[in-house]
Amino acid sequence: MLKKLMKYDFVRVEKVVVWALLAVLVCAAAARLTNAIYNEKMTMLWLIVDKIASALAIVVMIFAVFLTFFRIAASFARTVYGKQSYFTHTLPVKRGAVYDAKVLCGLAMNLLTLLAVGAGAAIVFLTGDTMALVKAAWKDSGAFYLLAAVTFVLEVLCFAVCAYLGIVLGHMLNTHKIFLSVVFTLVLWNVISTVLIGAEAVFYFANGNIADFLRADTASFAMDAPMPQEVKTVFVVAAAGYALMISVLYFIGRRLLVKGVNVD
Amino acid sequence: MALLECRNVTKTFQNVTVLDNVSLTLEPGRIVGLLGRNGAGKTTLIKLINDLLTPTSGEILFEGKPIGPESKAHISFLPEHTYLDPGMKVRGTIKMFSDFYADFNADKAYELLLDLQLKEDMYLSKMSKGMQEKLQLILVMSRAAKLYILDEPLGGVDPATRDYIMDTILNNFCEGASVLLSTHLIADIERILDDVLFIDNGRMVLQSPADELRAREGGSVDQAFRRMFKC
Repeated sequence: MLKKLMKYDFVRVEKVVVWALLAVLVCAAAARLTNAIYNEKMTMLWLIVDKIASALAIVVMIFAVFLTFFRIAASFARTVYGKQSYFTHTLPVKRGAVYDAKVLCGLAMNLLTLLAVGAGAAIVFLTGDTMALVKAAWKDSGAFYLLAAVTFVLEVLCFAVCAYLGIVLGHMLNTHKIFLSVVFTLVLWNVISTVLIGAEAVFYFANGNIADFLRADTASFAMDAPMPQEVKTVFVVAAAGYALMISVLYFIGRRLLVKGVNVD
Repeated sequence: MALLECRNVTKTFQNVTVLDNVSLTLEPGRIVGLLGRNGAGKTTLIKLINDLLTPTSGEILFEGKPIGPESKAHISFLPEHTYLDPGMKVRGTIKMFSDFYADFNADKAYELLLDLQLKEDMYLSKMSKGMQEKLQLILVMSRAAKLYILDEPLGGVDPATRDYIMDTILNNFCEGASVLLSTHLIADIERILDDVLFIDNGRMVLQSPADELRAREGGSVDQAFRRMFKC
């Protein structure tokens, strides 16, 4: 049943988000094309067109990330607490499976959007010069940049799980449910950020080398310079923290939903 | 064993008691009218039975077990409003019901669709509210459930549509199954009722076989209802 639930959840979200992801790739390709034309013609007109196309690609990428997030959150609220919840909660499935399907689908869709945005950014920005820089950086600190990317992805997913729990908490009260869902989401996110910053601070004080690094002259920082081990460890702490928070929030949200709902 | 049993079910919202200590028993093979004025608590009770609300106290049992996936596999519920994703096509809703309900008969659903002249590839968003409600009725009645719960199926529709709805219910509910039908339009359903439940101000004020009530009150269920609630 989990597979079937996920299939319908995925289709519900994907049928809107897929257009945004396609727009990301099309705009990225257009930006790349205009850049190539500008490099060949070197005219003011093509410079302007190139800049506009690049800016548009970036805007569409940001839009796709937000659209995916809001579509997932709206779909969750609509199918768990809105009119469509009358179908969801009368299905012969455990309520925990409903929550699992929605969270897994949401995380997968967020991941898909981030991949599409990453691919779009690569299309726009990985030209000859930047490609050489990235290759050099990857050679020296590939693992670090991978770790940073994983941390960023986990951060986005953590925010998505915050939203799920925020919606569940917001709908446990009898009034202003949407408003309270947003408030709970933001409060949860701030609490998590504070806890993680606290964890990093503890690590900071326990490790003098990081303090030295942070005090160092960052103007000389180069993308292709090898990253100090201490900085890598800071990202490991952040990634582990986000992974832990995702698990904790997921289980709290699931438990609350399984206890019962009160739909309007 | 009773098909459905509510034991001392109470539901409060923000200290307001919407259902107060309601108990009822539904036996298999009965058509039961859940009757009451607007705001009497009919929909709240139905939502509790369908696990859409959590009781403040009391318990609801289906074939002796608490409401859960096993009972939902045998309860076919028609809410009072449209609840399907408007972005779906008619064909998609039938596939969805087939995917989730083992007792769903897709062939029967397609047959009933023909009567309505609904196209399979039509989006729900392009259909009128009335057509969407009829589609939902078809989906719900195409299941071979043990209990059909229909919340205000006649609300806000013209007399011809009421007839269509009543015919669809009567001709398609599974033999041996029970139907719990909530409405305040008593005269329209009186002829088909085996039992009646009167609910008022969140309290169950009467549970009786329809014939006994008629004999006792010397008139129709509708007249008994009007007398009891001084309409």
